[in-house]
Amino acid sequence: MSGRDPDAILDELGAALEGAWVRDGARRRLALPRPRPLRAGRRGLIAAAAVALALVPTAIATRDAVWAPDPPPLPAQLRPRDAVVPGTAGTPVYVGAGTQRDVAWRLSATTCRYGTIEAVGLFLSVPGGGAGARCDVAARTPGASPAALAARRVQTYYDPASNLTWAFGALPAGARAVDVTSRPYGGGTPATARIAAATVDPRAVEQGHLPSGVRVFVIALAGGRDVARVRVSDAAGAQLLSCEGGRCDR
Amino acid sequence: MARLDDQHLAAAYRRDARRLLIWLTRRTYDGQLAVDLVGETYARAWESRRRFRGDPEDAEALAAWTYGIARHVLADALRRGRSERAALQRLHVEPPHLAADEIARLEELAELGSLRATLAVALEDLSPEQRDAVRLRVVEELDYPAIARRLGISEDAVRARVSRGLRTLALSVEVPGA
Repeated sequence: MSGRDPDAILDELGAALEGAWVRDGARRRLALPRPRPLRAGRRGLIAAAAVALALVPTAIATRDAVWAPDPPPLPAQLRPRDAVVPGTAGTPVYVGAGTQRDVAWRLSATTCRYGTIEAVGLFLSVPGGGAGARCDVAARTPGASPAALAARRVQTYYDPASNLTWAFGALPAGARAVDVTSRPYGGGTPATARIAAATVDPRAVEQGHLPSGVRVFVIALAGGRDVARVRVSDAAGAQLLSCEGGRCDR
Repeated sequence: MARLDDQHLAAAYRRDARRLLIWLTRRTYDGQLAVDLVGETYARAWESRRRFRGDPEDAEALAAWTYGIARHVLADALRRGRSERAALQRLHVEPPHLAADEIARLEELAELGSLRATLAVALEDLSPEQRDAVRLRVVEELDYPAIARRLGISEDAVRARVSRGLRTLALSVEVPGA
């Protein structure tokens, strides 16, 4: 660029520095301490669970690389004054990847801690786009309480490039099957699709400080659809969770 | 006492950066280098903010501390004969790149014209090698590749001679902190 006077050049440099300071400060505030090694008994439990759950049919394949790219932190000036800010956030890790309806996807997760309340932020990436709620983004809703953020287990994303509606979520350890009820945009007959709750690589759980035994699901629905309800059941078929509008009853 | 944070530094930058830019331009005779060094100074200030022991609301104390960092940044740049950008790179900040007309405006602001006249006299204090390099760079305003061709030495050698010469001249031409 040509024609700037020295003050304009300094303004440009100052804006770049201020942005970097905010990003750097936020990154340091959100950094978690190094993970503590799991106790031997806990490691054994996770390993046993991983072996057992590997037998469950699933559309999710774990990636070799566990670490997911760090999302850019939300600049402080964009955060609403009364927004909920996580005290700490874990390192983003990949918790699943696969292909549905010929579209490749990857799912990453970040643990967000609000005092004693822990939430999992999920972000789905597909070619050319993605959506979800990482810690900073999840905290953007003014007036949202930590408990409300933690209850928002299910996210949806309509991808216009593939004309698919994606639903995805983080589930407790006991989850085995997920029933997703949706209807076309603008109304129509609801339909329910079932998918297995997939296990997460124990390395990702440990490195991302995710809740022990956390499971995830990702489903691609043809066309633009409203996801009305998600029901999660355990191994015995009993209802474990019921979610309306993305928020679950626990 | 409050700790020095990004808001304090941003306010200090708005107060002091212009003065610092002029000061660095008059010491390096290079507008682009001076802009880089202003950025590097405030990037290092950010990295060192926990070592600031004064009151961050005290504008004078903060300016003095920042100028101390700037002196180190300038000394490093003159010793190495190149721009210092390590802290900027750690923060992923790319300083603005100046076009020729922007450099000319900055040099006008820093009154480099009159300074060059003064410098021409002070050049006698330098060794012949440094004097030729500094005269071609600062007084005749040739770029480094052109000086290298003129003197038959490498570009790095030219930068080293100019830097060392300027470091010597900095002691005689201007009062530190002016």
